[in-house]
Amino acid sequence: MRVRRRAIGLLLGAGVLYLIGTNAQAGWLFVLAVLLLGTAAAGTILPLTTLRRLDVELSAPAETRQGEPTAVEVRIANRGRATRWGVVAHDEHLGGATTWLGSIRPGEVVTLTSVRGAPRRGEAHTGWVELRSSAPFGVAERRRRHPVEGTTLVLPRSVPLAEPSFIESSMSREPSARTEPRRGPGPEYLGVREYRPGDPVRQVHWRLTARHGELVVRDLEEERMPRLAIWLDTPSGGIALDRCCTIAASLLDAATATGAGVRLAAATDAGPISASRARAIDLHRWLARLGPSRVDAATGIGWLDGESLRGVGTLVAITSVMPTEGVVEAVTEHIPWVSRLVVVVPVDDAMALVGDPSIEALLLGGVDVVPWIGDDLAPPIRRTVAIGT
Amino acid sequence: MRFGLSGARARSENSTAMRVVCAVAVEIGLLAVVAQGVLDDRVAVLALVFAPLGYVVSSRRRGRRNTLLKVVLAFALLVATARFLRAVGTIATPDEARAPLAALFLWVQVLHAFDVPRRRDLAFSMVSSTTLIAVGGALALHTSYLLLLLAWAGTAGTWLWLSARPLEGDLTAVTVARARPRARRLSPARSVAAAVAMALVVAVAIFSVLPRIPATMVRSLPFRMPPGAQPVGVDGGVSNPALPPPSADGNVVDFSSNGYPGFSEVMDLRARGALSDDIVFRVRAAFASLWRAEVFDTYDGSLWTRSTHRSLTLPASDDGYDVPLTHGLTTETRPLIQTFFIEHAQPNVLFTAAWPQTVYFPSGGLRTDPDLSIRAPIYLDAGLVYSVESTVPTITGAQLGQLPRMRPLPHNGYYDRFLQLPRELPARDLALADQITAGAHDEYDAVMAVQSWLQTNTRYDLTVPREPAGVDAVDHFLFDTRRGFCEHIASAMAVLLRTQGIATRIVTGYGPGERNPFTGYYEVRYSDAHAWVEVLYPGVGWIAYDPTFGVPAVPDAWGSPMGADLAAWAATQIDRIVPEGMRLAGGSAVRGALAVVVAAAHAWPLGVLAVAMGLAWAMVRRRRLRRDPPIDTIDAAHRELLAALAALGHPPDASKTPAEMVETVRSDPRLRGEASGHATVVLGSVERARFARPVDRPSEAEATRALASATRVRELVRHR
Repeated sequence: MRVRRRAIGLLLGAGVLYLIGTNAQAGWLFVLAVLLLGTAAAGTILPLTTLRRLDVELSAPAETRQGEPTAVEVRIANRGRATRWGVVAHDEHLGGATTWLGSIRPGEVVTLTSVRGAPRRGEAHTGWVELRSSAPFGVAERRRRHPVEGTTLVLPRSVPLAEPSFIESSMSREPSARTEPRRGPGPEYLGVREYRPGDPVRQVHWRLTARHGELVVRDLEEERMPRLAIWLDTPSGGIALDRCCTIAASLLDAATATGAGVRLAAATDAGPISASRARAIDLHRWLARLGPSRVDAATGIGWLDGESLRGVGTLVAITSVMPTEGVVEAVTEHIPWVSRLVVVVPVDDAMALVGDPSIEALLLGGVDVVPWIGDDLAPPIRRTVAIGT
Repeated sequence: MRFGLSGARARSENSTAMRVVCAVAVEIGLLAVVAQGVLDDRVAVLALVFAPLGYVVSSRRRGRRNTLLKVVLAFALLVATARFLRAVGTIATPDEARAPLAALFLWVQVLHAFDVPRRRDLAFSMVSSTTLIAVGGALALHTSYLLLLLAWAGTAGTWLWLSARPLEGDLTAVTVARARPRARRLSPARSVAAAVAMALVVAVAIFSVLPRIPATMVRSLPFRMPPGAQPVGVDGGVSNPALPPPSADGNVVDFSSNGYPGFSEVMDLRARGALSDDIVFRVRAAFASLWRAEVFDTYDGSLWTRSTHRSLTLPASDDGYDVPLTHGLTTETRPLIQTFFIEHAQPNVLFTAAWPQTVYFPSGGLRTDPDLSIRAPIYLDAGLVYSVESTVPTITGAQLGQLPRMRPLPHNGYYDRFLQLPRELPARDLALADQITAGAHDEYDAVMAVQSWLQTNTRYDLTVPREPAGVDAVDHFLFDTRRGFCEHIASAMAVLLRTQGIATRIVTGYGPGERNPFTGYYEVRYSDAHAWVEVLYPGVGWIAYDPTFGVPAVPDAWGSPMGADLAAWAATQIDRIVPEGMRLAGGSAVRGALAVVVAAAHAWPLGVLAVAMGLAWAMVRRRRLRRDPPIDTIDAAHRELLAALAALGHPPDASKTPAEMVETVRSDPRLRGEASGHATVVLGSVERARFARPVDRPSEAEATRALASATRVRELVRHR
C-alpha cells in the first residue's frame, strides 16, 4: 500500500482547518476538517479490498517481428461480489502497456486489447501483470502482481533491399530455390517419426522407442550447400546487436528471394555458432535468439573455419563498429577460401569510411566495403587513389 | 528574438467530467460565501456568472498558449487588488475587512477559472473551492449550511475519484470488450454507497472525540449595526416593545410569545404565558454561561424592582467600552469572549456572561447600572452583532466553603438593598428557612441547603395558575403550590437566603441555550428566558446560582468532545420531531436493549465463544464456496445459454449431449459468428466440467468466462 501525496494534503488541510476553527470559534470548520480526515481514512482503508478476487490472463502471439504492430490481450475477470473501481492494469510485454478501467462489475470479464510494437528483438517473456487501484479517493494505492505466462519470440526487423550486387543467384548449385526442408543426412534436426525399413540404425531414438514400445527415428534435414555466408558481430550493446541482426535478416531475405542458400555465423562466449536452414523463418528465429558476447569481431571472424565456409561463394561480415586492424587481418585471411568478401559497416555517413586506413586496407585486399546507412545498403566504398600514383 | 511562456505546452487535461465537477465545486464554494450576505449583490452575481463561464473558456482554449489571455487576467487581478486596497484603507476595524477580503478572494477565483489547462490547475481550483467553503463556514450561523457543505463534499469526492485516473499521456490506447453478467445491476451503486458511508462514519467518529479547545488567538471582535436601528426613548432605562399591554385588571403584564416580562423595569411574579421556541440570538463563546441582562434587588411580595436607577455612561476607548468594576470579583476568574448575533429584536439591554469587562458595540451611549446591567441607546434589532469580554469566576464550592463566616453583614447602603424583605412576609417563610439551614455551618452550606431543598421539593411548571390577589407570591409558592416558573423558584431562594442574612439579588436573562454541534454557536431561544439568583460572598464577589436547572459548570481547559454536543443536539432534534408516545416507546426499547447488552457483558466468555464459533463457520463456508464455484458457475452459464437457445426455438433437450448442442447451434444461421463462438465456449466448458478428469476440469477463471459468454449470447439473442 502506497500513500499518495494528496493524503498528506488532506491531513494538513484538516489540521489547518481545525486550528483556524478553534481560533475563529467557527464550528463548520471542524465539520470540514473531519470530512477531510474521514476521506483520508476511507481512502486508505478501501483500497485494501479493491483488488481482491480478480483473475488476470495475458495472451500474446508466439512470434512477431521487431517494430511490427502486435496485438496483446489482457483479460481481467472479477470473481468477487462487489464492483472493483479504478483498476489500472500494467504489463511490460512487448513494450508494455498501461490501461485504466473505470469499473469491473462482479462476474464481468474485461478484455483489453492493445497493439504494441516490440522495441527489441529476442525472446520477450512476461511473468506478471500488475494491477493497481487507488479508488475511491486516490489517497492510497494498492498494487498487486498477478502471475501470468506470456512469451513471444521477436524476430529481427527485416528491411526490403534491392538485390545487392554481391548476391549472385547464378552461383547457386540448386536447380531451383527451395524453401522447405528436405529430409536427408545433415546436422539439423527436424523431428521424429516411426521407423521405416532402410532407416540408418544410428538415427533410432532409443529413449522414445523404449517409451512407446516401437522403433522411432530422428528426422534430419538434408544439408544444403549455402552460397552466401553471413557473419555478424555480437556486441554487448543491445541496440548495436539488434542493428546487426536487422542487417543480417535483410540480407538473408534478399538472398533467399534470389534462391541463394544462406549460412549464418556468429561468435558467442562459448565459441562459434552457425546455422544453415532451408526455411528463412528458421534463420530469422536463430537471429532472434542470438545473444551478445564479449568476443571481439577480429576473433569472431577468425573462428570461421573451412567447415563453416564449405561451399560458400560470398562471405559477408557485418561489424558493429569501424573495422580495426585486427578485423582487417582476420577478414583478409579468408580471401583464399571464398570468391568474394564483403564487409558491411553500419554508419551514419558514408564519408566516415572514406580514407580510413582500415577501410583502405580492406579495399586494397579486394574486400568490398559497403556502408549501411539508416535502413539501406549504400553504394560500396571505392578506393581513394592519390593523384599521381 | 521571440518571447513565450515556458510550460505553456504541458499536457492539458481533456476530461470534461473533471472540469465540470471542478466548476461545480467552485460554484458551490462561491455560493457558500455569497449566501452569508457579506458581499455586494453586484459582486456576488458577477462572480457566480463568470466563474462557470471561465471554466468553459479555459476548457475550449486548453491546448493553446493563451499569452494574451494571461496578460489580460494579470491586469484584471491587479485591478481587483487595487480596489481591495482602496476599500480596506477606509475601514475602522478588522471586522470591516471581511467584505473586501471576501470580494478579492472571489475575483481571484473567477479570474483563475479562465486559465486552467492542466490537471494541476484544476487541483488548485479544488483547493480554492475548499477555502471558499471554509470561508463560508466561518461566517455561517445556521445549520442549513450543512446542505451546501454536503453538496460540495459530493463534488469534491467525485473530483478525487476522477483525478485518481492516470493522465491520458501515461495510458496506452486499448480496445475494451466487456462480458457482463445479467445480475447485480445495483452493485456499482452499493460500492459507491459503501465508500461514502465509510467516509461519513469515520468523520462522525472523529468528530465525536475531537476536543473543542478554547480559542487562544481571537483578536478582532466583531460588532455590526443593521440598517435602520431604532433609538430607545428611555435614557438609561429598559424598554421592551414586545411586551403585551397589561392584563384586564390593568396590573399584570403577561408573557407574549416573544416578550419576556423580566426584561423591563419590574419583574412581576404574577405574569403568566409561554414563550416561543424561535431563536433569539446566537452566541459564539468558548463555553456555556448564563447570559445576564437585568438585576432586581427589591421584593414587595409580587414584584421585583430596582432600588436605584442610577446609571453610568461607559467610557469609550480604542478597543471598545470599558465596564467599571463595582464590588466586582476578587477571586480567580477565566476570560470568556462572547459574540452575540441577534436574530430577533430584543429590548435595549445587553446580554453578557458573568462580569463584563469590555463591550464592543456598534453605537455609542452605552450605560450601566451599579449591578452591571448594561443598556443601549438602541434596540437590539435583528442583524446586530456585538461582542463582550467577560471574566467568569472559577472558585469552587469547596473553596467557598472554606471562607470565613460572613454573617451578620454590616448595615450599609450597599448590603441593605440585597437583604431587603417585605414587611408582610409571613413568619412561616422565616421558619422554613431556619429549618432548611439548620445544619449549615457557613453561608455556602446555607446556600447549598436552600438550593437543594428547592430542587427536591418544588417543581418547574409553566401551567401553574396566577396566585390570588393580595397573596405573597413566594409564600404561596412555598406553602400552597410548590410549583411555578423559574422566577418563583429563584425568588424563593433569594427570599429564604435573605431571611438568613445572606445578600442575594435576582437576575434575569437567558439560559445558555443549546450548542449547535456544527456551527459551534449557542442557539438561545425565547423559551430560554430565565431568572436566577446571585449571592454575595464578601471578599469574593457575586456568585450565580440557578435553583431551577443548575448553573452551567465552567468546563476544563481542554474543553469537551464535540460528540457530547452532537449527542445532545440529536436528542433535542428527536424530542422536537418525534411524538412523545413514540419517544417513550423508543426509550423503552433502547433501555431493554441496553439491559440485554449489560447482561451479555456479564457473560462475556460465552459471547467470545459464540463469536469465535460464528467466525469459524463463516470461514469454513467461504472455503467451501471457493472450491465449488466452477460447477455452480458453469451450471449457471449452461442454464443461461439454454434459456437463450429456447428463445430462438431450440428448447432444452435432456437427451442431447453438449457436443450435439454445439451442432445445433452451428446449424442455426441466426447464431453464426460471435454467438456461435460464445456458445461453443460454454458448451465446451460444460462438457469438461462434467466428464473430464479433475485435473482437466475448467478453472474458476474459465467458469467465469463461460458465464460471461452465456450472458453475451443472451444479449445477442435479445437484440437480434
